[in-house]
Amino acid sequence: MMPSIDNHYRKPLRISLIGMDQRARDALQLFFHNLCHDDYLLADDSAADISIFDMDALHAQKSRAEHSQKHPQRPAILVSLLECEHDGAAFLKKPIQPQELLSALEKIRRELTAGERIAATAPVDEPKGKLPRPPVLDMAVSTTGYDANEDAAAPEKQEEELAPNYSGEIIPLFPDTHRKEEQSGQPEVVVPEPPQKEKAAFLYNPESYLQGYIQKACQLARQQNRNVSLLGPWRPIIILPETREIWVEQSHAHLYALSVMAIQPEDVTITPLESGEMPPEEGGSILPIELFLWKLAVRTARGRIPVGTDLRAPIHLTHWPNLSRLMPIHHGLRIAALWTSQPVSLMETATILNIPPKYIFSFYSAANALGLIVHEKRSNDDDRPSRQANQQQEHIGLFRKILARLRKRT
Amino acid sequence: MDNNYKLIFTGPVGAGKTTAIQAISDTPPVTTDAIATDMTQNIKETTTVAMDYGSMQLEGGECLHLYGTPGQERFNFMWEILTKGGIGLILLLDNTRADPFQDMHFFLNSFRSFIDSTHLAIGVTQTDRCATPRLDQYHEQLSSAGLKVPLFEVDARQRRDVVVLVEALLFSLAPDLKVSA
Ligand SMILES: Nc1nc2c(ncn2[C@@H]2O[C@H](COP(=O)(O)OP(=O)(O)OP(=O)(O)O)[C@@H](O)[C@H]2O)c(=O)[nH]1
Ligand SMILES: [Mg+2]
Repeated sequence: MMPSIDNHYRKPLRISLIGMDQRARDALQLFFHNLCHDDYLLADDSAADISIFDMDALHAQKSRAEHSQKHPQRPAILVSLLECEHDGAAFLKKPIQPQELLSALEKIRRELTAGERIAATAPVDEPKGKLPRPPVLDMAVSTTGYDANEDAAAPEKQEEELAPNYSGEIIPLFPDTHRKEEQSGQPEVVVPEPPQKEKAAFLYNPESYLQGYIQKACQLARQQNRNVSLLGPWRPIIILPETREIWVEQSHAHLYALSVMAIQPEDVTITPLESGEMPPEEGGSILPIELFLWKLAVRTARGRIPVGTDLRAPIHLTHWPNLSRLMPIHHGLRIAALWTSQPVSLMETATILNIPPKYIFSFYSAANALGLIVHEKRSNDDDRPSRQANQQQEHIGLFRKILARLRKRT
Repeated sequence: MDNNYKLIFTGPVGAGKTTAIQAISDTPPVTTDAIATDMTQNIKETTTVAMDYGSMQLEGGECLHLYGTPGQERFNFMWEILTKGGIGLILLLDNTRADPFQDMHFFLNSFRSFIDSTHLAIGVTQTDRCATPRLDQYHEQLSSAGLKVPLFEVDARQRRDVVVLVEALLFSLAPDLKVSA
C-alpha cells in the first residue's frame, strides 16, 4: 500500500513543475489530490517550495541551471528516462512510481521542516481540496464522440492524444514534452524495424497501468460470472459482467487522467463480490465497459502497442467495433475495414493505407483491449485480390466523392 | 445511366429508414408515407408505403440516389427493381422489435445476392429505448451467416451516426480508399 500521510495539520507544500506538459501536470495534480490529500499543491514557480524538473524536456539542463541560480535554496527532484547528473538533487527514473515520488517528497518535507524553510506567506495557486477541472474533462465524458472528420486525412484533432515521439523516448508519465512536429508531405509511410534500443519507444506494457488492471478484473468477472471490485490508488471500481458495464465512483475524467500513471501490483486488489452484491445506488456512475476500456486504452497507449506485439504477424478483427459510439481514432474506419476484410500485419497496414503507424497502433491497442484482435495463419488464397475489390476499383472515384460530400457539413 | 448511383436503405417497419435518408439527403426526401393501417397501426402513425427517395449531389455533376424500401413486407416485390445498380445496402434494425434477429435474417436472405455482389452495413436503432440484444449478440448471428460487416448503434435522427454507417460501407467496399483533402 501507499505510504499514508494522516497528519491533517500539515502545511501543504507548493510544487513547481518545470518542463512538463499539461498532461503531466494533470496527472501529478490528480496524484497530489487523490493520494496525498493535497499535502502537495501545484504552484507558480515564484511561490514554490520544491521544483520538479523533467530532464527529458527540451533545454532541460539549461533551465535547471537557471533555476538553481534563481532559487539556490530550493530543493529539487529530477525525473528522466535515463540516469542523469543530479548533483545532490533527488532523482527518479521514469516511469515514476507513485511511492518513490511520495517518498522523495516526504524526505524533502522533513528536511524543510527541520530547517524551517517553508516560505510562509506566498499564496498557492490552487485552493486546498478543490481540484480544478483538468482539460481532459471536456473530451472525457461524451459517449457519442464520433466526428465524421476523424477519418479524413486533413484535420488532426487527436494529435495530442496519439502522437508519441517515435524518434525520441516515450515517457510514460510525462509524455510528449519534447515532441517534434510531425513531418508533413512524406510520400510513403513505412514502419521502420526499430533498432533494439529504440523499441521501447512504441511499446508499452498495459499491465503496468489502470488499463491492465481493469482488463484483469474483467477477465475474473467473466470467468466467475460475478461482480468484481477493483481497488487501488483510485476510488472504487466495480465490474458488472452480466450487463458488461463498469461502475466507477470517481469521475471518468480523473480515471482517464490516471491512465498514464504506472501502478504497482501491490497497490491493487481485485476481489469477486458476493453473488448479487451490487454497487451502491448513490454516487458513482455506470457505463458500458467497452466504451470505457477502449478510451482508456487509447489514452494509455498514446500511439504505442503492447509489448510482445509482432509487427509482421497477420491479424484480423473478430468483428467491427461499435465505431459510432467508441472514442474516434484517426482513420479508424479504414483500419477496421481492412482488418475485417483480410489478415494483414501492422506493417502491411501502414503501407496499404499509407497512414502514420501511430494511428494503427492506437487502434490496435484499443481493439486488443476489447479482445477483438485475432492472430491468424495466413492462407494462400489471401494473396488473390478479391473479386469484390477489383469490381470496386472502377467506383473509387465515386466513393471518394460521396465521402467528400458526407464530410461537407451543410 | 453512368452518373446515376444508388444507395439502398432497408429494414423493418419503424427502423428509421425515412429518418436516416432525411439526415443525409440534400433535398427533403420524397416519401410516400401514409397513415398506418392494420399491422403497423400500433407501432407508429405513418409508414412508408411505396418507398423513400433522397439524393446527394456530388462533385462533377454526379448524383447519389438514396432509396428506402417500404417497411412492410408485403411490398417486397419492389426490392429487386430497387437494388439494380445499387452500390451497397444499409440495413437498419429496430432494437425494440420483438425479434430483431429474425428481422435481420429476413433481410439478409432477401438481399443476399445483392449483398454478395456489393457490401452491407448495419445500424441498430432505438438502442436508447432498449439496450438488448447487445451488439455482440448480433455479431454472433452475423458470423453464423458467414458475414463480417460494419454493425453500429445508430440513432437515425443523428446525422453523424448515419454518416459513420455510410462511410463504413464505403470503406468496406474499398479499404484503401483515400480521402481527398
Ligand atoms: N428513440 C429513438 N428514436 C429513433 C431512433 N432512430 C429513429 N427514431 C425514430 O423512430 C421513428 C421511426 O422512424 P422512420 O424513419 O419513420 O422509420 P422507417 O424505417 O421509415 O419506417 P417505415 O417507413 O414504417 O418502414 C421516427 O420517429 C424516428 O425519429 C433511435 O435511435 N432512437
Ligand atoms: Mg419510412
